[in-house]
Amino acid sequence: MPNKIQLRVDPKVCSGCLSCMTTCSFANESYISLAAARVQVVLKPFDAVNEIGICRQCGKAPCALACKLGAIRQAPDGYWIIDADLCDGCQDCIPACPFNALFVNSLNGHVIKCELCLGDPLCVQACPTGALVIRIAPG
Amino acid sequence: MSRSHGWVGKILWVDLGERRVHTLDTEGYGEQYIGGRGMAARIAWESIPPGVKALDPENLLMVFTGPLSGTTAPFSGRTSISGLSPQGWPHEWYSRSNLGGHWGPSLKYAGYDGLVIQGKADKPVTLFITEERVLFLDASPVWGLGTIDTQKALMSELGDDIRILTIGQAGENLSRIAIISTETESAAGQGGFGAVMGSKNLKAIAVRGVGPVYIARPQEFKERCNAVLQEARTGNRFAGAELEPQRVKKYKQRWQACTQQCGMRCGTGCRFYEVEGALSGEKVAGQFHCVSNFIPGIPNSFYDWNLDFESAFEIRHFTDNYGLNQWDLLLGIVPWLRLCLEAGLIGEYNGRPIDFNDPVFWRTLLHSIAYRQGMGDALAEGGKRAPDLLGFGAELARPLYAAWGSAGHWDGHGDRGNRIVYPFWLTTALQWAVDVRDPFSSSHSYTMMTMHWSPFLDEQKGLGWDKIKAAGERLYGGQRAVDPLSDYEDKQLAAIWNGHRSIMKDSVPVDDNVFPMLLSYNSPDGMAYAGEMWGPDIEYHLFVSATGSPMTRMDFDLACERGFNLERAIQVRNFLRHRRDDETVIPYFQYLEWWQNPLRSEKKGLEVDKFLQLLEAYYRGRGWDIESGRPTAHKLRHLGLPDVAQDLLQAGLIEEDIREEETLWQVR
Repeated sequence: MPNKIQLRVDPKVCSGCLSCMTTCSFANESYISLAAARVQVVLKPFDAVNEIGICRQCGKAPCALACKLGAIRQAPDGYWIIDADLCDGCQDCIPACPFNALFVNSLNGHVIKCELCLGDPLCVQACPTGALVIRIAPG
Repeated sequence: MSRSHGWVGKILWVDLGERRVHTLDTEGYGEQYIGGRGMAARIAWESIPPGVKALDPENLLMVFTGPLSGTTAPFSGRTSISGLSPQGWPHEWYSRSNLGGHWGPSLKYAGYDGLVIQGKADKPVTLFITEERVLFLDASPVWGLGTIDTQKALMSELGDDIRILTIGQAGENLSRIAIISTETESAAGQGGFGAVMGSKNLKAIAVRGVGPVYIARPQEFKERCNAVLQEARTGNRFAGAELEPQRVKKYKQRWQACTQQCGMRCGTGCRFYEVEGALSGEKVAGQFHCVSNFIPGIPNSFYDWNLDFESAFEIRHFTDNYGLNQWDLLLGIVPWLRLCLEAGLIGEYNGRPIDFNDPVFWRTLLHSIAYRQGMGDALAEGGKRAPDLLGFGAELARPLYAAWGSAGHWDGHGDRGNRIVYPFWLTTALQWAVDVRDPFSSSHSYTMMTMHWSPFLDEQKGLGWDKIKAAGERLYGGQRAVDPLSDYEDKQLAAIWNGHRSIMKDSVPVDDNVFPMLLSYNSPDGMAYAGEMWGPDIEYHLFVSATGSPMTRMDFDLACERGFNLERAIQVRNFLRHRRDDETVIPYFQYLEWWQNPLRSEKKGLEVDKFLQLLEAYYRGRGWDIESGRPTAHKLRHLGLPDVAQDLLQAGLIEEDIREEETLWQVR
């Protein structure tokens, strides 16, 4: 089996700069928007820890199981992607995720999730504090 | 305006008295002024006539973003605030302040490049701005609450995805040192703009927005942003300071971005904590940052009081929650009270012994200022005005207050926390002379260059003077501007250059701690480079990539100079600003400097005749009339401001052109 790429997420060190969100949206769309980010940081300005919603690339992904159309499928490197041609926008996948990591882009209605930039996630490069780090799990 | 790039195209104008809103096209302002602070100056010129005072309904509170706000540009999240300033002295000058947090980018995401607020609501209101509508909400449930309590209440009512600007009790009670605050300690501190909100019965401005913002040249912009981030993270030794392990666990310490898009672990030490407050019995969260680092006291210094970490942290929270200006408190009011105590002018404060080692005393002091109780009523007018109102200690305040109602900062005299020595404070004296507030909200680069990058901070690690001087030659056109063995020569070059940079930073916007990116440990010549960009050109390159503007580098600089001159023109028209005003900073700088230049044999104070020559060199360098210190009509027209020239000429306030070439200081 090939090596599996995963994200290690540590909300305790998130500085709240939102660089991950702006970078993500700009990598995936022609514009910058918090609604289009595949990682969602909920700022908690009066608490010690911000919340980070991002796909953990589960081995057996509940979102994929919840999708009646088979639109969420696993790439060879282990990460899950949404086939936009198959997705009908029913949003059944969203409550199925235990990490609150699937979202609707309110600008176009598309269901979105982190697809690890197909192996080289830009949010990780943008993150200044190590709240988002790449982990390669041996296959 | 059709879809634009960088900009989102509209400025929201709110009339609180009429409860009406309309929009202006950004297009009419953006290209000429490159962003927030410059655009606000244009609107002020058009819409704040002479005679208006800071707390009048006719004053405008202008909250602006810039073309980089909300984009992926590193360090671009700050927000600029402009208007007539209650803290201003001796006039309520047209001034500005800026703050971090996430509010500005969210305004952009909601579809507005800027916000202009005029008038006064008949009762307390909260403005709620979304992409769809602008609501005037009843603010009576939050009136009387502190800034943090207000935000918590509004977030619980409107959702935790909103960002909020708000005032505390100090702003409601029209204190001249009231701040506008967002989140825990991001604040427009100087200027007293919290009182402007209070005078308008405006408790808070909440905004919800998600975008989009478009970029004209996406690939180029991404590459440039990455290059900037790389250089910022590796090129200086201020980044990469570490957390304190014992506090990571105890107080959940972590790095905090003081603003959106802060892409590094900031060397200014933005650390966030959560602490059980001993005084309030509540959990308080936030950070020690910037001037709040003075709160615990600095042993064996001028600020020699001693509070433990936990107490100081909570006192910091109280200043934020009441909405009080920490600059005026910590570099002005508190040192002044201590001097008065030492001189025997006062023994107690509102019937209580004065003891700055006692956290309870601090809380009493802050509460009394926020609510204008007893002596706090005078202190709420700011440390500059308080001595006259209280009838003592004016002589003791003089060496603390540099000018314009602002306590000293980076000047080598009143501020004894930020070390700067002769001859470098001559440049900052010029910056102070022509400003209307503490210039160092967005103007640290010269002091950083000479004191923090040089061997003066660290003989081993600092860039050598040869590299600093070469950079001075290249940037300012004169290496004596940064030569520690020079005297009055060339200092005007650095002051003029940094004046324009201040406009640039507050307009596009970028953060003052990182920009302009001038020096670096990554390059052989000691100057910063990011990819193909020379450090000082980065703002321009990001601006044109984002907006697609055809502006040249020279046009961009000219826009900054235009903004600088327009602000001066407003002071001239509205307050008759004159060289005479500029010269009022002189006595303060005549005091002997606080630190001595290690390469010189003695401490220095300002020499009046030499400084007057320097001031004239400054005016000459700006193309201003030497006798009045005002822009000439010729200069204003050259900068594309013919209407401003015409109005000032008609009012008899400016000259057509420079009147004479000889120096006036000799004949005065």
